[in-house]
Amino acid sequence: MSAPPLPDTARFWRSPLRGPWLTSVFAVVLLVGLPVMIVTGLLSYAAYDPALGGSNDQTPAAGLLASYIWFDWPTSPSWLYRVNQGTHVLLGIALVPLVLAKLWSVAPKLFELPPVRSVAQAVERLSILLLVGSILFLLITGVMNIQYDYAWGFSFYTGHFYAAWVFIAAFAAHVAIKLPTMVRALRSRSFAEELRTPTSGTVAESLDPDDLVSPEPEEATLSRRGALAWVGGSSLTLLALSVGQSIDPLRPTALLSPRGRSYGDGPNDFQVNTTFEEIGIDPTLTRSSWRLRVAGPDGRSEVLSRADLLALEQVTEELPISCVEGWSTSQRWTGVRLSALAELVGGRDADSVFVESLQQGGAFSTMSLNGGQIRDDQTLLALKVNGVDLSLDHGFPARMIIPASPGVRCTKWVETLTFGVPA
Amino acid sequence: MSARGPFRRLYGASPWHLFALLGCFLLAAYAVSRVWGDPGFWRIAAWFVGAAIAWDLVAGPLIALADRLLRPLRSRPRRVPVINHLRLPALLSGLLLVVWAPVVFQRSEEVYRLKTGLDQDPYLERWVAITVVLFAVSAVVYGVRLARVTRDSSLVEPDHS
Repeated sequence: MSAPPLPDTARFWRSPLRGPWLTSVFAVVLLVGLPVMIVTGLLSYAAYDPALGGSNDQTPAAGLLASYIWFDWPTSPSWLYRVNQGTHVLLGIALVPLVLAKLWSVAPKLFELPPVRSVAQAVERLSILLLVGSILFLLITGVMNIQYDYAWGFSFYTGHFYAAWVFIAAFAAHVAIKLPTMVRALRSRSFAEELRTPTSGTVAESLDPDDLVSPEPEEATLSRRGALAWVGGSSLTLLALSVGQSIDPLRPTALLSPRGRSYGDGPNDFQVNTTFEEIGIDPTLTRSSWRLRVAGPDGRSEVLSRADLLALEQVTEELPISCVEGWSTSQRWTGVRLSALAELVGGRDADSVFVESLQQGGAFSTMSLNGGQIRDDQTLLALKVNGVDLSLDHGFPARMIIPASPGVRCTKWVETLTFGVPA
Repeated sequence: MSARGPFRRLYGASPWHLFALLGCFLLAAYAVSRVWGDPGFWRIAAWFVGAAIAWDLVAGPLIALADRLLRPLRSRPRRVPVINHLRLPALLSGLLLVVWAPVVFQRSEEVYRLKTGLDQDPYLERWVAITVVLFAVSAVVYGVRLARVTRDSSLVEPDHS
């Protein structure tokens, strides 16, 4: 018996399903799904208003890569970030089987020998390394980040952002080069005919110039329609077991998601991100001695106790907490309009407000909001949720709630508000 | 320049091919140059290249080899091959494990507790339970198919082919 072929040769990969048609079916789904990932990802980055600097800008070296953001992040519709980020994370999870299936269908293109057949092929292979490396890097860091596994030892924001730009570059070139091949391959077989073909009638495609078809195909153990059903079914299974993290009534169905858990039935029993324990401050600082300091652009300032704040006009809004991690939850918040607090110190027309938490240090203990967010009537300094005082974990004595904004900008345990112009 | 011009003979593809790739490398190089000075740069690079190698050169071939181990199950002593009734639930279970490994293996227990106030105890049980359900459903479907084939072949003349 001769030595078995190594995985870097086409002879190792003997499935009769492999070929340009099946690869192109996976590709056309990714051609729809991945641009959605790119757009929602870039929008999520813009949702931090990185131009405000400080904690808002997690990638200060971005340079031209952030230059597509010509707008302040809007405040309506209030579900904007919830839908954007829910889509980004849920779709990312659902695309895992498709990406893996696509990579399987073209293996071992990246590592096959000889490494160089022509200049064109060598240059293209380098771009494929960027494509495969970046898509896997983005999926891995995304999936680990939503589970709080930071084993990589670099900032998630830095890694995910720059890798995304490498991916955008490699993906655009790959689509430009391969689109005609994909269209040709999709036309080479009838989709309806494939859906009627059982395993017993499944044979390999004729050999193709890209060597995707196995030169020594085995007998089929699965039809092409079966393979598509497996991959599509896997995507739907992953999606079905995750979607509850973004839809409150379905939460218990997100069985494996870190955000599928119930806290109970009480008014404060909803998803917590960053517990009071984590920030490690003395709880007495949140009690009767707590004061909110509000400063205006021209030096005016006010110091308010929680009783002072409760004496101001109280507004109730149903708004979501929507995390960059994709999960979200909608609650009824009661508190003072941020615009009313701005008015107190002559900051009604301010370009920004710098919000500081009692939390010391930490990547997001301070945050800036843009002028539109200050003036939106739904932006609250919330004191209560669902009719009762905020719990310590949800930001007692006071927290920001901003429509359409990432949850991380809704600072908890607020101590000072400084209205002004961005530094 | 004709499609078979000197450029194509030297380069191996059309000028557009080179143009698209130069655009790709230009943008990618700019992104890399912006993150070059980051203290995490080399870790990011290692995870980037490592991911491509880990999948294309290690995990993919290993899965293909594991699949090959199931080859004997293709023979059809009972007319309904069992192979797909094992592969499909295994694939789904494996995918769920790959995606949710950090919580299933409680890799981020401490951070998770500080972030959410919860523990990661239920996830391993849940994954095992889902896996059991997947294989059970697959076994039931197999049983039904087997019963149908057996019934059909007892109704008509047995086929000894």
